Amino acid sequence: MTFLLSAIVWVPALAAIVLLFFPSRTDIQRERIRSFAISAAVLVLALAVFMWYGFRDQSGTYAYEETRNWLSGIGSSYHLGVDGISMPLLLLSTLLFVVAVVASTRLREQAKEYFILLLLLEAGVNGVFASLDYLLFFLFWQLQAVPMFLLIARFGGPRRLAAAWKFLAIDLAASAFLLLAILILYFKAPVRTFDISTLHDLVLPAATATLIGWLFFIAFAVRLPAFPFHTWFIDAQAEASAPVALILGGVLVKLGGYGIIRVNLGEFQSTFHKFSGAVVVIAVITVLWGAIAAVAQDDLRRLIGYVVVSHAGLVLLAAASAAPVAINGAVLLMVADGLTAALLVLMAAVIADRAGTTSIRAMGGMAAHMGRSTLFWILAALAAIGFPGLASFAGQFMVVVGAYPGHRIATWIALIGILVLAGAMILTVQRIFFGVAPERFGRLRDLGTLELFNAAALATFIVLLGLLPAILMDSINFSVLSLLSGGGG
Amino acid sequence: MKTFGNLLTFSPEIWLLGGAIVIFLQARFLPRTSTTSVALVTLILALLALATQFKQTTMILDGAFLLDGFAIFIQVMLLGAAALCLLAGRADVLPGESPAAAEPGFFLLATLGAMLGASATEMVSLFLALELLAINLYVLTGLARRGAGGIGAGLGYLVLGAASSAILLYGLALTFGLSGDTRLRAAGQALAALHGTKPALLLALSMVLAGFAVRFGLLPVHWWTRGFETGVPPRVTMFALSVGVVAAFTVFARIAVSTFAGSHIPYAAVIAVVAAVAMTAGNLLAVTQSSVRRLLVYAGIAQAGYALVAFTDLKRAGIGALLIFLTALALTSVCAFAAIIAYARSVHSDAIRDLAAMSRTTPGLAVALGLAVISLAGLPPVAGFFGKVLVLQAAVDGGFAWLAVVGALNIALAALGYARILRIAFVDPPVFEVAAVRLGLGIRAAVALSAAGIVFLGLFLGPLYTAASYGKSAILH
Repeated sequence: MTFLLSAIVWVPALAAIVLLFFPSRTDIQRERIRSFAISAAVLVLALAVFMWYGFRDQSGTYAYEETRNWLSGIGSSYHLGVDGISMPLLLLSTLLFVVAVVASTRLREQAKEYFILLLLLEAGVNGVFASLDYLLFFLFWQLQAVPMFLLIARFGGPRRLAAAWKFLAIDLAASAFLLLAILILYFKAPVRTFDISTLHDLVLPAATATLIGWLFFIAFAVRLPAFPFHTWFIDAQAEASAPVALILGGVLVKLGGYGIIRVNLGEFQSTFHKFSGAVVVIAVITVLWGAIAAVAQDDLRRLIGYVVVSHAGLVLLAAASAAPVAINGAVLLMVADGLTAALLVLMAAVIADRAGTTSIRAMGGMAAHMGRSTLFWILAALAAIGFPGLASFAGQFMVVVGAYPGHRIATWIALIGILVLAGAMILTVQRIFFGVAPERFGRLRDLGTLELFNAAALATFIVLLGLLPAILMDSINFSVLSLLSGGGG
Repeated sequence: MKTFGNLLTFSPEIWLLGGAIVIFLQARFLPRTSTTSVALVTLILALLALATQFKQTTMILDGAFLLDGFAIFIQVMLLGAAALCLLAGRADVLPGESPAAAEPGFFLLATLGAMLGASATEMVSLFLALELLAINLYVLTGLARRGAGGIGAGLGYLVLGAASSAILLYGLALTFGLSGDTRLRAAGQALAALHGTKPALLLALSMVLAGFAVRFGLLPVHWWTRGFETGVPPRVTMFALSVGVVAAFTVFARIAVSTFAGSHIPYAAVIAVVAAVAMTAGNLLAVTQSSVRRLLVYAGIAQAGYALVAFTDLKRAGIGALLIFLTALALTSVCAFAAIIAYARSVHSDAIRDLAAMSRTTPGLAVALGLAVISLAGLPPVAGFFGKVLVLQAAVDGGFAWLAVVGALNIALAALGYARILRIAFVDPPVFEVAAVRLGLGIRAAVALSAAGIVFLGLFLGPLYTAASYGKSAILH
């Protein structure tokens, strides 16, 4: 089954290429394009689920490893593999891409380009999660920039162009850091190789290791998004169309957390430990900043952005603590936050569509007409604040418990952040759904069939993961332990 | 003259010459489409003739030329690029224009000059080869000129080219004077034994480098000849930016490896400075352009800068990186210009803002242009990425880590700058109605082949890398 990961990575790309040859003149042809994109995404999800079923060795090594000659001349090979850390995120990614593709309606004549870009993006994301070679990792990382730029710039809200440029500029700058880190690492290593597992036991001079560690960290923190690099994310989140925002907040930013755990923590642990003080400060500010900004936020889409930012701070706190329990929690939290953010984005799109505005103050009393929407939004909001029995509870709990012994004050401050965020979410629910409805609302349509289907699917997973975190936890734990036990300079 | 018999090794070049003669003889009777076909067949025959000499090393004319793995690698690339240019050039006709039927003959002669340059190992022969290429490019700019600006543009090109040839010749003469030998390798050995002539040698290197500046695209004629991009049709610019640039870098690589690398001057540092300035200035100039062709030409300055980066580490990774970079660059230039030529069939405009209708009326061309732009910037997963990464790797290997940093930052700068083309081609709504014109088979093949080549090299570099290592070991041997 060595080709399974390759299939998960390349099926979206192949589907995108095949889509190039589809005609898209009539509505029927466009519908065919959408069906094709859906089937491709579902196929990838099926492959990922199949991979998850087969993922049982739990010895902490990479599963489904595939190594092929690629650029043997410069020491880079086509090396794929998953462990308990990347596997849950890969599952999340393939699931959310299905939801995003299904949720993409009303595209009219631009459908073809849209789905091609979305599928290319999926190839890039899945590729990063599966890569075990730095050059390959960078290649897939960079593959995401242009499709995402075009997706935001072309299909977003009124200020989409500015948001797209901001994303591209910051993302490219961060990529330059990533490339520099990889090149320096490559040249300082005694063996000329880009292979992550070969370079695992590498011992570098302290100064070099610190430089590489910082470069990697900044590149990933920008994507995470950690304070003060989060502004691109908030703008993009507010301006992108709902399915793209769903991918952005649900999957794309999780690559930052994944990078920090896989590379900074897994490969440069002792170096990372040295500047973990700074990381803790950034983490705490990020948690608080996200939570406080969420309270003050009037724009529904931006609010969701800040929820994601706040959770990103928790992931960072867990990484800085380097405690196994916390890292376990961070991986789980990333998956849970991906699901919650996706549901929030979908529901926000419905609410904004019905209310005709994204301003929370201009809403009110929507529960009267939109019972099901209210229910799903409340569920998502509760999940976001870590309500027991819902997805992110276990993750947040483990992060806090794990980080507390090492960083007591920081954990207390982060807890305050979590509480503030909870307040913000409850306040928002009150403002949107209860109180007096504005005159202009009239009768509002509740969730349509498709919206209901998407929301119900996500809600199911949120509840399932909340009740049975063990379905992912066991494999995560083994990989986290082996990740933390290894790691050179 | 025991090596005289080796003249038969020139069989690819002889085919090109024969093809050119046939075209000139037939030009009065045949239309240009037919002469282009003749030229294409000639290129294929030349390629087949070259294929019989793979994996050989043959000295020709007492060492004036050397057909080794390096030359063969470059010659295959030159023939391929020339063929793609001819394929695409067939469609580069505006309504009411009737290009000269003899034009493909001059393309063949220019290719002949480039081919000879790839194997030249002696100062006189390499200069003659470069001049054969250059003179045919002057002829082509004059012959294919467009509108009133064309004459001025052709003249400007001639003057600039002649001046640069003169400077190059001075540099070569100075090198000859210092070393006493016109054979590159022997001259290099003589220079290695010399001490205390650093200023003179530095001057010689600077003049050679300056002489190559126009040919590299470091100093594009567009700089001071206004209207070049509209006065000279894109098929000629495409040819100069692919075949011409590759040939110039090949010749310079021979000179650098054989002659200057062993001498006691900090030649790598000189080149590193030029490269850093060229990368940054080229990208900054490119992003401010409003004309697509000017943008591509100014981006060419940055590309020349990247190619020069490879020269900082000639003895190890440099040549291999250069060969791969040049292959990627040639394919990318051809792809970009072919897409522009094809788009010009529907929209006769050179302005970037008029690309707005591209993704809606001609999505295939928009994708090809997008890939080319991404490759020019150096983002994965297309050919330009590996070209640039390998070149930067060579810089670090050669001890110029700061140059690699400049190069990496330039990738981000370029990507950000060139993203404007992507935005306009894919995002902006069209400002006017565009009727899509049905494109000929030739131009469609050229766009498809070059775009597929870019993507293929971005994913599977292995075979090319092997070939480039073979070429590298040949020249360093």
